[in-house]
Amino acid sequence: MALRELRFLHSQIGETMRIRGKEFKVTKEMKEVIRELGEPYAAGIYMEFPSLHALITSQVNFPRVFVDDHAEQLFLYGRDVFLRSIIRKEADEGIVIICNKRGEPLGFGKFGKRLIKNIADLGMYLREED
Amino acid sequence: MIYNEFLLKRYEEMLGSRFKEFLEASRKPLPKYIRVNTLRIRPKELRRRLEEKGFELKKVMDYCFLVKKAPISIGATTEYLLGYYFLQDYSSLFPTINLDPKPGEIVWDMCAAPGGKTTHLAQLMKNQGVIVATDVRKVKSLWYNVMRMGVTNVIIYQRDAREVKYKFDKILLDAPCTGTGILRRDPTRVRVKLRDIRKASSLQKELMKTAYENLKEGGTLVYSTCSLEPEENEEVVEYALSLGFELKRAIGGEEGLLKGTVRIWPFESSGFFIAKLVRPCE
Repeated sequence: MALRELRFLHSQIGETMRIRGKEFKVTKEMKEVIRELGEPYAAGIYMEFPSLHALITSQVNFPRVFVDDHAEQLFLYGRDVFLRSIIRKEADEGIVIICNKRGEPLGFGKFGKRLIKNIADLGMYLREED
Repeated sequence: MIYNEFLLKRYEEMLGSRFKEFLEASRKPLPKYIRVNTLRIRPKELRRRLEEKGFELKKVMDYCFLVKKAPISIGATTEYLLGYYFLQDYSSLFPTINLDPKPGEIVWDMCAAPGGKTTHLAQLMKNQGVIVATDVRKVKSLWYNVMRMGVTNVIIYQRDAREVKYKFDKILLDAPCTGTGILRRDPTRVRVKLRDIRKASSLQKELMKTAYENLKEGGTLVYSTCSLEPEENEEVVEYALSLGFELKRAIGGEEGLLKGTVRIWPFESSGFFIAKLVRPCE
């Protein structure tokens, strides 16, 4: 499926809902089901920052920083990004999306003086499993 | 030997001349398969990327590969973390394929954790419609897998399926079972006895009744287990027929002991049982 089609599908998910105190985006159909079945554990797209779910479904908009292969691996192990690993960047400060050289989003980081601090990365799915 | 004497006797009776082949297969490790998440990547592209990393893959279905060689753990690649594939036995794809969910439908995955079939349902539904996924345990794993795979049409409930009241278009009941079809993967289940099978069968029938009550008229239910025991499979389907379900022909393997059902023996993949049922219109 083309990325454009995916973005279109995700753009259909427009209704915000609070579930267990957290923000989610759901469709009208989902909202109707939830109305009958009661408050769920989770639904739709998890939107609370730094949500990796929101990241990979193109729901967030931060400048991107592209890193080399070595930094990609380290970042996915929860490590920070050294500035020398940056291939290209769209910002010099604040919160950024860390991408690999292909442009695939790996997580969120925050610029410091000598490195980009790891805020959240996709490796957490392995590190925090049940 | 991973099977106890009680189980071996049963399988010898059911398999006849193929029992020897079964014993030989049970001594080998179970092959590993990956299901490509076509919501996120094309199978051809994923194959190219993994082969560049030294993996050797064999296509067994449009979006499923057998992992023949893995230089690193197949569950620790960047592609895995990006949600481009799910580690899933080939045979366990067939319950979802038999249900044939369509975009826009409201589907219930009754015993959903850890989410292999839930995310497969979403893939076939192109992330459209609604999947209600319930389970009493491992919902965090389920939720993580849903998020990792970029699935957006799931509602998760940590709830006993027997407490749900709704009318669904389609239902997947991949029931809790003794797991005798996956002993090669999970040898902790080797001590299965007749009383365990009876206990599982009783719960499966309760869940089947719940499924019947929550399915729209004309709706489809797929019942599956990773057990090889007739009490958990054909006997539960007979109970389903007594409730009013009609049996349709399932696909994915050889015919079960009941005509129209499917039994996959654990030769090349996990053992599985699948039945496709329809609630007729009154």
